Amino acid sequence: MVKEQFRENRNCYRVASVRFSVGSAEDTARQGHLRVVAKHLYQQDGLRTPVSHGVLDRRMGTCGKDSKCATCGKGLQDCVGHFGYLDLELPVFHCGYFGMTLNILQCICKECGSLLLKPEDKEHWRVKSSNASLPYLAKKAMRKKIITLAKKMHICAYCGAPNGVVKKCGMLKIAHDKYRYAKNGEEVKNLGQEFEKATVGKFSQLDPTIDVLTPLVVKSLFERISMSDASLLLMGSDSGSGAPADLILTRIPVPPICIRPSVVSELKAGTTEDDITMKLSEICFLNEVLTKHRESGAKVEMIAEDWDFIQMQCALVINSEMSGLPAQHMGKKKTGRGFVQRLKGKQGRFRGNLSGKRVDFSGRSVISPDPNLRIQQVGVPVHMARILTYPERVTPHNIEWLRKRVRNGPDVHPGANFIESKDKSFRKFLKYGDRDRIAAELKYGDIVERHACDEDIVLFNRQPSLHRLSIMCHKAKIVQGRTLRFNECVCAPYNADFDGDEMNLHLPQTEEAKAEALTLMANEVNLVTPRNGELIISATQDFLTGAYLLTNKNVFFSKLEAARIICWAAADKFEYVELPPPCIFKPMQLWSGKQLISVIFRPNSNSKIMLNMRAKGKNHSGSKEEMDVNDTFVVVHNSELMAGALDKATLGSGAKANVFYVLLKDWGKDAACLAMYRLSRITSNYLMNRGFSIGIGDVTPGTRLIEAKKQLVMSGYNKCFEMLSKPSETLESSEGAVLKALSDIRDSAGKLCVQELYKTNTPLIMAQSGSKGSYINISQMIACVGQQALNGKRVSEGFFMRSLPHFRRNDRGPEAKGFVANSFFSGLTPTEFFFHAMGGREGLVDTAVKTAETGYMQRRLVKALEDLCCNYDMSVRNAEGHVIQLCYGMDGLDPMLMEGKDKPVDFDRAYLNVRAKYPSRSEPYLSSAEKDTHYSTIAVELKYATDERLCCQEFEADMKDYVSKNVFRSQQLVSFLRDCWEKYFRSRMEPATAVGALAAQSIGEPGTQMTLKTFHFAGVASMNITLGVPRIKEIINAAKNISTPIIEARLVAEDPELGVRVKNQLQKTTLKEVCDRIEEILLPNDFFLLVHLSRKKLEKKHLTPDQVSQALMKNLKFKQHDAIRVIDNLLCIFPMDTAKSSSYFVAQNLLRILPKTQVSGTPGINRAIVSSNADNTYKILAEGENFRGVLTSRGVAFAKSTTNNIAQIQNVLGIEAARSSIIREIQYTMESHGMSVDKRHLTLVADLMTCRGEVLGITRHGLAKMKESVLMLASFEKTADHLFEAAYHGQKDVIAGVSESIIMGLPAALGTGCMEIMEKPTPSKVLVERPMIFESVCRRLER
Amino acid sequence: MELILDINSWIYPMELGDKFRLVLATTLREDGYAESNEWSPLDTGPSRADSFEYVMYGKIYRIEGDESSDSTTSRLSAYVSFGGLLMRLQGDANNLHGFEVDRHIYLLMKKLAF
Repeated sequence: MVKEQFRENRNCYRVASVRFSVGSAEDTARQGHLRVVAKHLYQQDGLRTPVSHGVLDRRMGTCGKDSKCATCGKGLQDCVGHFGYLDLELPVFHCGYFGMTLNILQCICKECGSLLLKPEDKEHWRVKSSNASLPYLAKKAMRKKIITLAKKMHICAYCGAPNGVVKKCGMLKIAHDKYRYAKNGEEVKNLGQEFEKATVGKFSQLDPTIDVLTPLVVKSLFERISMSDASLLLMGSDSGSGAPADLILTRIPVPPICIRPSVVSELKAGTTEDDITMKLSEICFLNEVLTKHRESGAKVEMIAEDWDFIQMQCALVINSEMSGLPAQHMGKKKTGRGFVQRLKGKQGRFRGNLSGKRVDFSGRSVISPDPNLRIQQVGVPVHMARILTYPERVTPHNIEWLRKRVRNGPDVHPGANFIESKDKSFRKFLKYGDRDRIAAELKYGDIVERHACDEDIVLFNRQPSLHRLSIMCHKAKIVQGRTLRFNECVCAPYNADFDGDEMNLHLPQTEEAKAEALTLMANEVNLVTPRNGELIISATQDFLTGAYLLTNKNVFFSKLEAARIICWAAADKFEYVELPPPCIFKPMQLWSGKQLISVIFRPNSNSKIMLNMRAKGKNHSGSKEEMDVNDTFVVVHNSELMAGALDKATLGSGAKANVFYVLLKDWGKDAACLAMYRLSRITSNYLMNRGFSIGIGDVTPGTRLIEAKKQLVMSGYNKCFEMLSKPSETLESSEGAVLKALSDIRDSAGKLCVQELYKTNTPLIMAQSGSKGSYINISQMIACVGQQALNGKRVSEGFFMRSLPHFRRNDRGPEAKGFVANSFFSGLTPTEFFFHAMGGREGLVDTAVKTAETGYMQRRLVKALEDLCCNYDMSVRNAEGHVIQLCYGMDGLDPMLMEGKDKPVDFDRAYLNVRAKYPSRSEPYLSSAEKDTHYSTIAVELKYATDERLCCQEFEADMKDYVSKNVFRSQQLVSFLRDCWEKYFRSRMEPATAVGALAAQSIGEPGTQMTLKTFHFAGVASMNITLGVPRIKEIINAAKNISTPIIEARLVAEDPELGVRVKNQLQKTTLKEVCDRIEEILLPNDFFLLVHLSRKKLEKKHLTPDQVSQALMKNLKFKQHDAIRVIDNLLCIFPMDTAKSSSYFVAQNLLRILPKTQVSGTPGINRAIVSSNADNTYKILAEGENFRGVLTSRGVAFAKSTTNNIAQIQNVLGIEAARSSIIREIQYTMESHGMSVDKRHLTLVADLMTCRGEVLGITRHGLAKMKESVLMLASFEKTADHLFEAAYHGQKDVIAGVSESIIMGLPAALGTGCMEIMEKPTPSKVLVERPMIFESVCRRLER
Repeated sequence: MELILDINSWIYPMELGDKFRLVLATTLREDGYAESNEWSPLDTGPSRADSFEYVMYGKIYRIEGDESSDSTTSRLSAYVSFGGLLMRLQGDANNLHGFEVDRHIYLLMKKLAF
């Protein structure tokens, strides 16, 4: 009675592709069941019978439970609905195709309808466009090119008619300025005269040369376009549909009633109709009016008005939010929902219904922590478990078990809600009826929908689901109460806390789903994040505090206490936990905390787990390692903690020097999870017994601290005043220095606190163990809140020349600019309080803004990268099969499995491990020759070295290097090499991994955690560069203009003088900076401006008066060569009369602009700074865009210079340089926020952005140039535009990508969906060809 | 020989200048035989500890300086952890002959009167 094997059951019918096309009027009629003509909806009979041939005719389906469809006779549930159609009296423009209609008109002759291309051009493009397998992107590009070419032709090559500019004029109207390029021709004059004569000055404002192209005219023009020309418009598809004339609407399809239900309201008389129904009935009415007017021969104006109106109504059905609607329509707030509105937006059909769907078998509740649950478990409330069911098939193995459940029924927990017989003949609800009998009659093969119970596989999720770890698989544990519970160690991946967060729970319904969830999504296989391979599920908060307190050097326990603590470590009631011998025998038996905590790694001597690690703790400094007095260096030797207090660095998340990480890597996920569980039990219980709280005494500063802080603040203030009183500095640079000095006060106060506080101080313990808070928080509570920064600056002036009215004007002292000298303990003064509130507000605003921004960034990233997949040949390709990377991340390794920083193996740890495992003191150390032989034998044995596709050269080189640098004994080396090779091999990327999605999440998710710090000083003060989310956004968007472009130039020689020279050469210098004064000299016979250049200043800038005069000549655009005369250090400028003004005014103008005129510098560079590094190297930092200009400057080492402007790099250095600069810039930004992202992810994003030969941003514009799939683009942004364009081109969407597959309800071609089972066809009987029915008759007739 | 040693000064206070006798042993049994692997709290036979005031039990976890090939002349340092209380004993390789990584040792101390 096994479950049937899973088979793809839809092999014969499966959506292979979706084609978009412009439907013709004939198609519409063919698909429609009736022609709609009546304007009324219901008959006036009080029964609400729909009017026959009205918009609500029953033949188009039904929307009520009590009525049947008149076409198919089915009810609401079964009838899919039927189309109708509505014939228009006069054709109108289709608002979706209006742009394309305009484009076609621009391409064709408005007389004969032939394409405005030279015959040879035509031939050239015809060949190109006739390629049937032209990619969508190429089609779009070609259309654009043909349009630009055709726009340039003004005379038709066939009929010789003049063609001018075709423009949109007003709402859905097209005008043709026919004589634009023949304005003064004979024809125009004749036309003007004729018009004048005919109207006699009536319409003087009208231009007779402009034709208004009505839909009727356009339609007849389009009908004249020849087939061969139509192909050049890239219209239609190979199936022949979509002629140009179809772009004009003559017949509107009327959609089935079920998509626009008519709601009969109980309360008031009448019905509520859908917007579409209303619009369509209005069109019916207008159509009727128009017909009547035409028949009765009404005035042309009236008919034109009707036509306009019907045109607009037709447009509104399709898109009710068009731009340029007349005022009367804009006034109304609610414009109704057109078809376009139904599709687009977050709640629209694409994103709301097709890409995301509602599910059954799910639950949601508030979460709470429970350290007594294992890492894999989630506590599910009984209430939930009684509703969430799993359909379990009855087998001989579980029949008794299920019988019990059936007997319990739906109300008692381990029960069942329904049973279904094997042949699906009946389905019974177990609430009623004789459950004992049902249980007794249970047969093999029946399905029992039993309650969720312990060890069931459930998916657990918290929104926002920013990365794949936001939904993980847990094992259910049914608990009392009403909250969902889990171990706090699992908070980090979900980013959950317990302040009222809610989470979702899903219960997979098939064995396949369970198996897949357990192998791929189980949280124990996701202990590490794919972002960089660091541990993400690990000890947090209380566990860290507890472990830190337990493992301090001075913590000892009596036998009683020790035994109790050890017992908590038992994972279950049968586990045997061994008490080690006491570390102190005499004078009394005492156990140290370190001994006891070692139990979590290896509870008893039967356990094989031998953990070895040496790692720096969080507060470690110096080189004494474990001999340091502070006991901050952690040594674990064969699962015994030898030295060091465990803290965040060695237990918590976000590090690889972590005991759980080492356990995971060396002893597997079960060992790591179990140890984590034991730790959470032992520490939380220890902490509960010991007690850990905070009181006012903990934040009360001692007298010494108060005194020291006073000194600190005083000295800081003095420094500040000193800097402010310096007259030489500019405002900006002194402000930066002051801010830095004031910020330092808080930091030093923090250090002071750490020194002064006693080591039992609880905030201090929390900060040291890394469980919560930092030294800054302690300092703020006890000593000094510190400088409040807004926008990276001190508090600015909210009042006239001062920040608050409590201060004097122009006060730039610390207090007046937001320095808070008090602590939270001592209390803030009113002004301080206000400043602190300002700072706090900025933080709140920033987080609010940031979440929205990063959310959108994440969405774009995922949409752009979702279909990238690592193939079996290690290449990364998109859904169309285009190669993005030849080898994933250039080495085909999985970032999740990197043990070192971007490297597959941490050799130091592997070395430590083999040394601990095989001390083998009897063997001698190997010589280097022996090492080599060992090395090669193992390489040959494992056959790794021969396979070239492995891309392991770098790894091999690293390993060889390490082996040569360290000493090994024979056994150690063999084991070391084997381990390393195995690790390398294990860390290769699994084929079919959705590497794109991982990369997108790995960049998007840390974005949400980036904090306020948006500015950063590059090298020197006052050279700000943008960082944080705004910078990531710039890079991802491929922004052309970035907010802080900086060029970093290196010098050809490391020489400070050269640096200054290059700086002067680059920096913009104005005349003001090199001259003393400018005089206006008036002599009886002469008149000039005299510029006194300062020799000193000139020398400083390495300029000569001649250079200055030349620069002035150039920049002031003087034509005469003698306009400036140089006499020693004087420049005489002779103003000349110009055509517009006299020499006097020229002189006055010159006086005004001269000081600001540039005399030297590279254009586009505003400022340059020489920055010297510690190793005596110099670099020039230049603000500005002109990268090419800087590179070509004398003295600049162009090979080593770079800029942060990616667009510039692409222009100057090319696409490969742009690619590497994208990687570098993202990495730099991430790193400066303390976030590490594996380089492979960045490489993939950069490769995607540059794979088309230009830097494409991950925006709607870039995406449209990257992706072929219409459905994918439509589900992203600009839904309607993409759909209309696809219809124009007759595009076929082969459902290949992820979005399309989801929309169509197919498995995506990634991961487990990447491959399919190929079944061997069963040999069928030989098929005999049967003659066709009328074949013989036809043959006879032919004869 | 050079020694760095942590002791629990709460239960065994020591002053600068105190003289003491320090014995390192692999067993506490008077007969010098190795102890059974498992520690039993009920084991109360005669032991070497009886004549000492302060006894610690720990493990050698690291021996440094034995990389060079001729181990006869070099200086070694042995690191021992007594449940977190560390000891580093540096000295001539000959004197540290019995020291091996992973070996458990006892440290016995007694203050001398003079």
